[in-house]
Amino acid sequence: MTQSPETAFHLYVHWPYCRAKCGYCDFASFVPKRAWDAAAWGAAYEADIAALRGRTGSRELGSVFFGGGTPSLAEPAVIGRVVEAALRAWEPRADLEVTLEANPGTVDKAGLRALRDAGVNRLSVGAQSFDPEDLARLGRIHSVDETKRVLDWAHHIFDRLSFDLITARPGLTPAAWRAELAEALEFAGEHVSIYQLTVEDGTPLSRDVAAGRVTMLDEDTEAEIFEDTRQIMAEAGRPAYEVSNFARPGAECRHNLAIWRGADYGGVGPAAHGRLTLEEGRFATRHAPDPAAWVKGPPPPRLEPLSAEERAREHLMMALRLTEGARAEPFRLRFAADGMADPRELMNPDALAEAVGLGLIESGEDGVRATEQGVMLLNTLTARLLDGERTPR
Amino acid sequence: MPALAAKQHQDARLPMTDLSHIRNFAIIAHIDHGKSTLADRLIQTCGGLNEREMKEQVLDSMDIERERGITIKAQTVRLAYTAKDGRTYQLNLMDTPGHVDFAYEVSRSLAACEGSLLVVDASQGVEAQTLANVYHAMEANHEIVPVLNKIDLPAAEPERVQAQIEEVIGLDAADAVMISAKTGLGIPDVLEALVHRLPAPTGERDTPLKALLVDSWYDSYLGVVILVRVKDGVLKKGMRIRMMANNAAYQLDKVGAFTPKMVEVESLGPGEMGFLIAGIKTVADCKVGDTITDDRLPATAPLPGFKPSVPVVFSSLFPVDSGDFEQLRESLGKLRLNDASFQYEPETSAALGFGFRCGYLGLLHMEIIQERLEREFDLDLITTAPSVVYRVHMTNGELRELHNPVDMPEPTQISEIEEPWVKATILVPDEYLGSVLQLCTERRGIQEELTYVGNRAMVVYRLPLNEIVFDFYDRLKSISRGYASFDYEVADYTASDLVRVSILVNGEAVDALSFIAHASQAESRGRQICERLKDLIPRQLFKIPVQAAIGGRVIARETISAMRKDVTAKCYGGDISRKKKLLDKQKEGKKRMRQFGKVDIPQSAFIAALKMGDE
Repeated sequence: MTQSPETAFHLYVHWPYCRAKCGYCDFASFVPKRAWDAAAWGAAYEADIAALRGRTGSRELGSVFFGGGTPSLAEPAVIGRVVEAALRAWEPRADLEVTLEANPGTVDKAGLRALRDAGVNRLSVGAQSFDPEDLARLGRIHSVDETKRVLDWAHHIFDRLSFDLITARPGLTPAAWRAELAEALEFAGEHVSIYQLTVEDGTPLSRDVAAGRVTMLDEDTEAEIFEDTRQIMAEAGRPAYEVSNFARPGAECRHNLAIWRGADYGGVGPAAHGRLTLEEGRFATRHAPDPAAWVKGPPPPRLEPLSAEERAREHLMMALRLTEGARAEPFRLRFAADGMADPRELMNPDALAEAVGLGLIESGEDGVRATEQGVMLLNTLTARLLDGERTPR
Repeated sequence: MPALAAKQHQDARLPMTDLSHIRNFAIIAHIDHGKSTLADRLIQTCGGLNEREMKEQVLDSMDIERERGITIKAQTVRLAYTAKDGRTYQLNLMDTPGHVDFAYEVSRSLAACEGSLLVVDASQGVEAQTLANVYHAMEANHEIVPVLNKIDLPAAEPERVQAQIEEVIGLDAADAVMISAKTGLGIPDVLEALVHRLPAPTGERDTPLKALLVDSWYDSYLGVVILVRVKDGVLKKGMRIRMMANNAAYQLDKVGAFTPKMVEVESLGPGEMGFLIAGIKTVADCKVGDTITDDRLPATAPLPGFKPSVPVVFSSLFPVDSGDFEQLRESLGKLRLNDASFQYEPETSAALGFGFRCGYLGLLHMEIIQERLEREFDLDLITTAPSVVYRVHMTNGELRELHNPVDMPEPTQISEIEEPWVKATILVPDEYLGSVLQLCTERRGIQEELTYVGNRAMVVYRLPLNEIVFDFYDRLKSISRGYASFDYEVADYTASDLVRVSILVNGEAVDALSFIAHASQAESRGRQICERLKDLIPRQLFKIPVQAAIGGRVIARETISAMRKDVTAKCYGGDISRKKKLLDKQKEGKKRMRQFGKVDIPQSAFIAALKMGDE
């Protein structure tokens, strides 16, 4: 991490299709009614990338991230066309990271090789749980054995490997979770993402909870699981670098880390979001979510102007979730031209003093970060810190 | 009958110069005992309205009045009745408010009449409210004619109820008129009884004008309409009148009577009732009980019995949405146009923002005002717990009237506090008597009387008004399964051991929740509120104490433990917008928070805490 990835540009590629929709998911994903036309999708991505290149001009490219949906459903040829188009459009850094999210139920050994050959150099496997019953309850289409098999293959095929887990599932005890995490770590690569099951509006899960069919864990149990997870992952050499992301030092997901540090990223594919700093100003970009409309020839994304202050606030929201926190110097470099020399200028001074006094936040020369205790209360802390007007120092 | 009815209707317009042909009467009845039905029947029989115009219970014109079966504003109806003696009488029916909150208004309405019909349900018997009003009528020297209603029902026990009237009220009920207002049975007997048993009014025609102001209301087309009973002299269109309480003078535009339709007449003479319109803009200038006289030739002394109305119960009203404050101010202004007995002044609360401290004649009056604000003006309101008016004697000799617990002076500056006490009459079936006595004792009551009427007990208690505004009526209803009837009148002020209990959240007093209580109850009520708040206030970054205190002395304490985990460990990936939405949601929530020192308390917690107070 000596090189700052923040100066580069990053590309997010959204693949909207899934084989089945999971009960907890509220992402822009769809189960297609009939087979898609791989050639058309390849061409549409190429066109979207060309259009994005037209807006960004020449930029250094730090990473490409295939998210979804289930991008491992896409033909490796489609992935290959996207990677090639990206390499043509921008100036790839030597250590360009290309991540793809894979569902264990959708890939075999040959498929993984084909993805590697298409340019993917980091695989993120949606393992979600190592408990067969809970995995089924989550609505996943794969088995624990399939997950283990795919992870074994992936270790041989990819240098960089991550997988996702969902914890704090209904009925989960801290003891059961510790055992499950220990088993999962036997299959772990350099990086693991561990999310807590979150009830999102409009999902089948939220309806089950509202109807009393499912009871989510209480605050104390969730807290215990959260604390245990951080401790176990640190002991396993993969400390948290973000609220729900754990990695060996230097093996962080460069794509996400860069975005959380405030870097620009472009989004291609239906429903893809982006943040662009252009000559005309800063923008939030958003593609319409309908895959069928998008594949016919991608309509341009909506560009919403963002003030420097809004952009800085967004950045701080994400940065406070990082273990390193909101760093003063990179912030100054990015926002000084817009009159913001330090992250603390956007923070409510009373709330900051209070949080520091309570030992929840550390504030020093190099920036502002949540303490181990503070991370546990980050939603409230962030809301309090970022509430109010700017106070230039 | 139509032809005759039309003729009688004509007669109603004619001035009645012969006082012996006038009868003024009120109807006294408990809710649901048939007052309105009887009134309707009398109007119909005398041809005041034809069938098509006849709406059920024409007298109660406000929605709330009709729904609750209560009367808030007094009204009169002038009827022309040709009696069996062949003479035509002018009968003036006075519909009076029937609730304790409006006791003074009731007394003025009764003062405008010479007699009353006491209507009692022949199966239910006498109720507490009837009792209070019948005593008012006796004080007004009324000739009272008992009327037993609903005698057609199988459950009717006229003899028992007659005996009860004699026993409880001390009124000869041997000649009670037996009727069924619903079927019309006995209505002619009621009319004959009015003519023959009630005295005619007295009054001098050729002396300076003295007219009793019975009530007034605001009509958006006509301005203020005043209901009057002329005692002496003549009220004539075109004359200049003067209100004796404030010496304001007005040109009289219109004089008239209700038949019950509004009908203009040339003049109103002694003994007559009717209305006047004189370009008055607000009812606040028309005080119930005031004397109206001739501005050019004023009476030397006003009629007896006038007193300005004084609120006895206070509470604060705050808009749930602080953006509605101006609308609340306007709405209160509009309500006050029609209800001078209701008072309000701006108030600021750290917990609830900007609002108004309001004074009412009683609990029902308070409910009516709040309901009208919410219903007619579409406002969402937060109401603080009702409080009574305390008299605080300061050590420096000063006497302060305390309308709001927030204004309580420091204990060291107080030499004595007096609180209002009431005389409460409760009628209750025997089997619930024990619970009722227990409730009264819990509420610091002092028993004055306990008598039996058949299988019902009548108890008279002295009780602090403070204890009554604190959910007494609801408790009484629930322990007697709805069978107890209850009425009270404010009796006097008595010194008491009263304290102001403050509620502190993290050491900061929450103004809206402070209350005044008797020292013996301060701790249990304080503890109750602390326990509730503990459940209502969300956990914060640090643990916070919730305390009840008298001055600097903490009498109850609960602790809200610190928040343990509040972080969304979700996949945001590159999607900042998702995280931002979450934060915006949190900020939106924070807008509805009130800050107490370092603690954010959602307004909903205060609303819930205040609501639970009346359960």
